[in-house]
Amino acid sequence: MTVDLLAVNAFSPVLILVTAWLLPTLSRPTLPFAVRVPAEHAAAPVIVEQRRAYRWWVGALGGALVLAGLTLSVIYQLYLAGVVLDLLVLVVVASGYLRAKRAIQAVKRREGWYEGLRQAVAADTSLRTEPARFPWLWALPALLLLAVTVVAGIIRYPDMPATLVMHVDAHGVPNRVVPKSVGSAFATVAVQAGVTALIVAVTVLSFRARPDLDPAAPHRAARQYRAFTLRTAKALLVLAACVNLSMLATAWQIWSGGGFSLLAVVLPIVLGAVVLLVVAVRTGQQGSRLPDTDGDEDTGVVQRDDDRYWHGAGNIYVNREDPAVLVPKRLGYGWTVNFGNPRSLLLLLPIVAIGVLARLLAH
Amino acid sequence: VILSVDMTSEVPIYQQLRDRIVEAIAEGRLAEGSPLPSTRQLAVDLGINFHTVNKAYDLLRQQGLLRLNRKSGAVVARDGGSGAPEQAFLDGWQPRLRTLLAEAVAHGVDDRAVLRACRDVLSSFETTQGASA
Repeated sequence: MTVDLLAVNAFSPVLILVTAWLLPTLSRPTLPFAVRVPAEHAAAPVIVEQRRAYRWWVGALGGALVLAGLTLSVIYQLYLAGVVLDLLVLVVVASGYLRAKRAIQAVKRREGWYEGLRQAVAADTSLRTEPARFPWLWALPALLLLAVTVVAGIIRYPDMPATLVMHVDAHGVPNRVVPKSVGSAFATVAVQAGVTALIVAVTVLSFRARPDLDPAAPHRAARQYRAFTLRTAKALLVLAACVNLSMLATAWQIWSGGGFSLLAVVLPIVLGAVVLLVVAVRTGQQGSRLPDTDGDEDTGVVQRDDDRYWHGAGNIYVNREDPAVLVPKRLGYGWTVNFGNPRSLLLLLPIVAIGVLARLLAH
Repeated sequence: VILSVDMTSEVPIYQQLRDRIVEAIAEGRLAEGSPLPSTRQLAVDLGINFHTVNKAYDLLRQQGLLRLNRKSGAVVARDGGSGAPEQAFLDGWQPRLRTLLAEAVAHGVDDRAVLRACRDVLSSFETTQGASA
């Protein structure tokens, strides 16, 4: 039971902590703590110092917090400690992050880092005219797991118990049971189908997202971006397979009607998250950590300072003039939506819909 | 092909975009038949207004350098190897060249320097053409 408890409680706080500690590593060198800086200032003393201070703050304080929280949760058998820990860790991370961001912004403004610089934007037409091919083969594991779950469900349906467990508490003890029906027996399949469709759709769309190439070294940026989209697509499709495996483990246990192991449900998700994190660290946001032979490209312009469109500590992009729906994140790895574009709602609606659907089917 | 636009420049964005595409054709990086992204996609990639790209593409179409159609999108219509220039183009180009040369003369650039500058620009197109071939 202690292993289950630890796995459930430790998973998200540790994942948040590790991801937060790695954030400065994932970011592009010209976007430290979501502040746009010219390449010539990317190694400015204030940035080096703030990066070090942030890592100490998150590593030492956040680490101590998680250790203490997990110890207490084991001693007192607290099953919801994970959620509380999540919030506390997030507060630690956010405060350290904001402090670093403000310090860099202050120096950037005071020293006028962008004064007299030619600010540009760049695009590579070959990303569109000769686009990278979508790695459909990597979608196969997720689709196969979905098919296996459907077939297993159909075969086992006659022998399933008359009531199915729809929800268990943190101890793995059922706290909601419903009569067997096609809806209740296949609720997890609906979630699988929804998650698979969503991840595949987002991945397909990511191929059309704005690459946001650095005009100072556009050829290098375009090569790195190409590799970044492909690697990220593969990692996301692996994650979809892991989610489907977790859902298969869930469904199997619901259909068997016996005890419920949360570990079997959590473990595949942990695996998928670790894969994504490793790919992210090795690739860097927009491929910024990928080695490139042509390192000394310099066109004499810098990327446009677009700080004014980024709100909420550099998490939320709002630009009504920008036709893009998906743009690379400033903070973290992957893409975010342009909240200034009404079409972004079309992308957000299905995400909400899947959550609602999963709830409705479970009832 | 990399298309870069200087957002701090006084030259309008559509004009810069048009100029970069013409230069890419002269340098042989874009040949007759080469596709270009759709206006919408290029606007997304550059983070600029859709109409700005449309204006640049339309200028290129009027000058006979770009073919636009619904099905195949934007395609480069001609390059240096597509045969003799049209008279209409020469009629428009020569007055512009005259103004450019007048500026140089007015600023005291002597004939030899003007000719040398012209040759340098022309040979820069050739070297890129040779390199990409």
